[in-house]
Amino acid sequence: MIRGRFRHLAWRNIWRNKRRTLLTSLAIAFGVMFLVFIQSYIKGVSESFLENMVRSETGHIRIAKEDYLRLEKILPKEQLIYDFTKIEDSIRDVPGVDTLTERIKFLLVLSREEKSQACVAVGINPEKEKNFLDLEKYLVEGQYLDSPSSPGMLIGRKLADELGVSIGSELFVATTDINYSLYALTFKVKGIFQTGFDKIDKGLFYIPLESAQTLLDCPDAVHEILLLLKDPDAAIKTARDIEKRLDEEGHPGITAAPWKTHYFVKFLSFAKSIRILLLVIVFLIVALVILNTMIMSVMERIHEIGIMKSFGMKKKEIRLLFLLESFYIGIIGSLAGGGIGAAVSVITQNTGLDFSAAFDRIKVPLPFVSSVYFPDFTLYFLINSILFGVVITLIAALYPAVKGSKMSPVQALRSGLK
Amino acid sequence: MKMYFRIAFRNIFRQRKRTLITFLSIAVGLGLMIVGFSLYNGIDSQALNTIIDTQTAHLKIFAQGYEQKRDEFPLDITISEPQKIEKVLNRTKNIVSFERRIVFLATLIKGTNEIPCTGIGIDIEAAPGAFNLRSCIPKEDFPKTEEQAMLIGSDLAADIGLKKGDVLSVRMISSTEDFSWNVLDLEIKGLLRTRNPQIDRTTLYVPLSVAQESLGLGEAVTEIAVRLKNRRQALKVKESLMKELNDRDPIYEVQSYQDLASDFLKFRKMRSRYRSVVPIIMLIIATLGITNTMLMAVFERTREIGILAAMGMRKKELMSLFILEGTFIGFFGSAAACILGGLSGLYLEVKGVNISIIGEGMSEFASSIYPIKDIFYGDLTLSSLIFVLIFGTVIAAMASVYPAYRAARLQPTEALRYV
Amino acid sequence: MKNIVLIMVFVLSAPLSGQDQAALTPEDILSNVHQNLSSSTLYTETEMRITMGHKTLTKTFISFSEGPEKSFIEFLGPQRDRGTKILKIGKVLKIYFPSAGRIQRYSHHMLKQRLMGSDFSYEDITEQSKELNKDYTATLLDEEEFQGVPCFVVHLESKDLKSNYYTQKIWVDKEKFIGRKVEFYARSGKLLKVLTVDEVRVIQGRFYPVKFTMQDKLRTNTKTEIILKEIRFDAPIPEDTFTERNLMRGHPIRYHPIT
Repeated sequence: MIRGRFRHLAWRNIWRNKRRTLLTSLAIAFGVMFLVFIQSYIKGVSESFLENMVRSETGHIRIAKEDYLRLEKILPKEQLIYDFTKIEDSIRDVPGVDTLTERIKFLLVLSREEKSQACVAVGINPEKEKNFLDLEKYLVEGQYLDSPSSPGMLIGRKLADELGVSIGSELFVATTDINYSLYALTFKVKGIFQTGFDKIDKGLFYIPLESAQTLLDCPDAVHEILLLLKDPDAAIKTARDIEKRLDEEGHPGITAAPWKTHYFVKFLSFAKSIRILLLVIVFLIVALVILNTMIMSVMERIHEIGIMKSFGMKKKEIRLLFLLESFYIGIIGSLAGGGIGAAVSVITQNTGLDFSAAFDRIKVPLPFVSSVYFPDFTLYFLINSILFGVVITLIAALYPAVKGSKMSPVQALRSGLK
Repeated sequence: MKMYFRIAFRNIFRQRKRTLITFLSIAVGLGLMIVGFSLYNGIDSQALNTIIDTQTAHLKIFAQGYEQKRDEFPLDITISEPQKIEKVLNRTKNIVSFERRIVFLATLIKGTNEIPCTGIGIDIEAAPGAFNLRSCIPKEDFPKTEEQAMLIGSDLAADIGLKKGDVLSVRMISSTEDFSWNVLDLEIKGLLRTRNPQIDRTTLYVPLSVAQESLGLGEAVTEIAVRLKNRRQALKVKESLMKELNDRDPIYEVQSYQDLASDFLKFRKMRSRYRSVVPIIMLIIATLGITNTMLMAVFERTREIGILAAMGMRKKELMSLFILEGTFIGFFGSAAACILGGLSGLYLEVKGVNISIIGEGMSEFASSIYPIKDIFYGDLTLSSLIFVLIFGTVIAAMASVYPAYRAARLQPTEALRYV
Repeated sequence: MKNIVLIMVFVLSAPLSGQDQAALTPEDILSNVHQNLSSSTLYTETEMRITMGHKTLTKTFISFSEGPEKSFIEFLGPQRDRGTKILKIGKVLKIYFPSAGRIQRYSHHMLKQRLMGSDFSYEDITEQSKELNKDYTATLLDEEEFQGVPCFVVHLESKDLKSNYYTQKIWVDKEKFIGRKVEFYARSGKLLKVLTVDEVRVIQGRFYPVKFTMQDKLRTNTKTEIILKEIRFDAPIPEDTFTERNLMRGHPIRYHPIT
């Protein structure tokens, strides 16, 4: 619909002043590249937070005794769910429930020779746990927990270093059980993992559920039952359904807590606001740069405009020409920037961005904060950044294009060719 | 020269609309930048202020050897004659106030659970004291000297399910070596909300005399906290105190807040690599904005430039005129920005903005990593205002150069064509 | 004349009950108690009943001790605790966990912790025969009846500021010189624990408490009853009793089984 002549002209025009064209495209490219990367980054970070929280702590729904959840910070051992298998069987067919697993959690002091470290012991069902926190994926050494027959332990890299243990080391775990008897077991370190999340890598270790139950003397009891739902957003409703079912079956004092009530989720609306803020910043910067160069370009080509007009070009057409030129520059810059941004995002998606040098010096493990971040790139980001780049360019070019087109041809001609 | 000033000045007012737009965009843009700077600095300075106001004060004086074992709460390394030190402090310049403290390990006994926490015996009488505790608690909640009552961090209370008025058995451990202790029943007189999560989550306060009595310390204390007129004097005063107090033997050690808050400061330093990013971005945007505004201003007046050139103005004069105009607008715009931004910044310093604006739950998240809670205060510095004033003017001047140059280069005839 | 001599002999040889006891110092009272409670060696078979709210747990163990310094305890039941052994020498505590087959050494602060969740701490259980006169200054407060038994009420104040039971109040049976009730206080004056003796018997020629109850007043609603099923004083104790080897040994050495 735009005549080929114009397109040709516009295209040639931009290459006449290579320097300006390249500079402008560069600015656009930077902006677009930044947009692609930062969107991937933020998505990666917030997803990782969320994922980690859901998989390691709350599930989509967490079932536990009311008092256990209330006093969670001190992990009260005796707040157990008895007959958990019965409960699991009855809620398994509540609509929306995808998978579930159970956990035992309690505080104790791990010691080895002269070193000791307070941490949390987590008793897991190794097979079921894979659907949640797939530690097998995070293993850096050794292997996953298999049969509960020989009690093995999975320990985080940081905790392992702290205690000076490696694969095959034996750790003595002593505790008072729920009846205050003293009990202890030794565990062989079967695997060392690294999730990047300090709270996990430094603060807890995993043992088979049966071993944990033996330690606490509570067979067929667990502290928590975690659920993953087919539709995470239905958590609140499904939780209510579950509580109703539990009431009916006579299990008083047990609550189903949906994940959205955890404060951390609310924090994620922060991520959205940041994204918008960043878009605005990039918009401003890129738009201003383009505005600058376009204005300068028009100022320099006043004479040329005059000539074009004397050739019979109408205002509208001149405007169109300028817009087309900026469109081309926009495309060049956006595609280049998009390509680079995508490449960087995809590469770092696999290798991750390692901030551990920065975080290592902090003694207290930060909740849900990882030292390594993986951007999460999607085509959507690429497309929307490129579009954004082109659109900004056009918007910014509007003003100069309009102004530039308003020139009187006759006098320009009369001034003679330059 | 003077003529140009006059012309430039009048020009500005002649094109009221355009000038206004230019002026406003500079004023608002830079004003926002000032607010942005102040909030940005606010995070860090606020966090550090909170730590100083509630935890470390500017300086602390211990008995020699205490700091090394601080994590063990050693009650055998004490200052047995605090009055001696206080005499010296009274005549030391730059010291505003000081107070005695005892820090000990404690556990809260609730049902079958014992929850460990940090206990601090504070001098109820000390006013103003070295900390700002009193401002965090309503007067009637503050325990009286010798009263068997305590203040407890609000998060700590929430974690265990305690509230004001509850009476609780508290085990005060007087020696971690042989684990001897005393047990007291204390009434929770008030809950502390200090903005310092470390305190709100792990600390309880009792009157100093109660701590001394229960821990068998007599008149001894574990530390004396000092508040200075100006934080910057901390290191200097530390040195002079060390010399003066230890003139015969090394009996005391003095630590400045830099030593006491080293973990936090390290964390802050780590952030500092990324710290300049935000201000730089703001500056870039400001620069570009002003440049554009100038460019557009000149752009619009191409015709006028032509006329002036036709009237015989030389290139140099034309340029000076425009640069001058640009500088004026820049200056006034920046000045306005300083006023606007300054007022908003002051407002933020006092009222602050609630962190939850960024998102719900933000404050809980933030406080788990930083001594910051729900309100975010700005930190406006005079230097940032001056900086913006100079910056705005200079940038506007520089930004006018190129367009002025291009404009001056135009042939009058070309310029005149321009509409 | 003969009558006067007779009367004097009569008076002089009469049992010096009332008068005698009025001349008893608190230190004397305590050392009499100590005479009853201490022996060169002690062997007991004990049943410990811990009541927490509506839950009651019963544990049985045997113990060998040489004064308050050396103690060896082995749990016989319930099944969960069977084989768990505790060795205390001075302030060093070592515990053997049969489930792990390992000995764990503990620092002395463990001594103040509860033994198996009971109202007795490790120290309470193993240092019952400690000589109070050494560590406390005693004052005779009063004479009072406790559960129908006339007692001296002796107040003890620790000579060591750091002692956990800074003051104690003991109701000593005037006749048998056995504490029938003890109140343990912290330095703040807070009542920490109360021990009441329910039954006293004569064993090997001395009075000894065979059934007593301890209540930890910092916890709500708990009490622990100790019933001594078997007691032997001054019996010879195998040489290697207070060794780590004994901790790891498989079967318990007893004088004869609990019925």
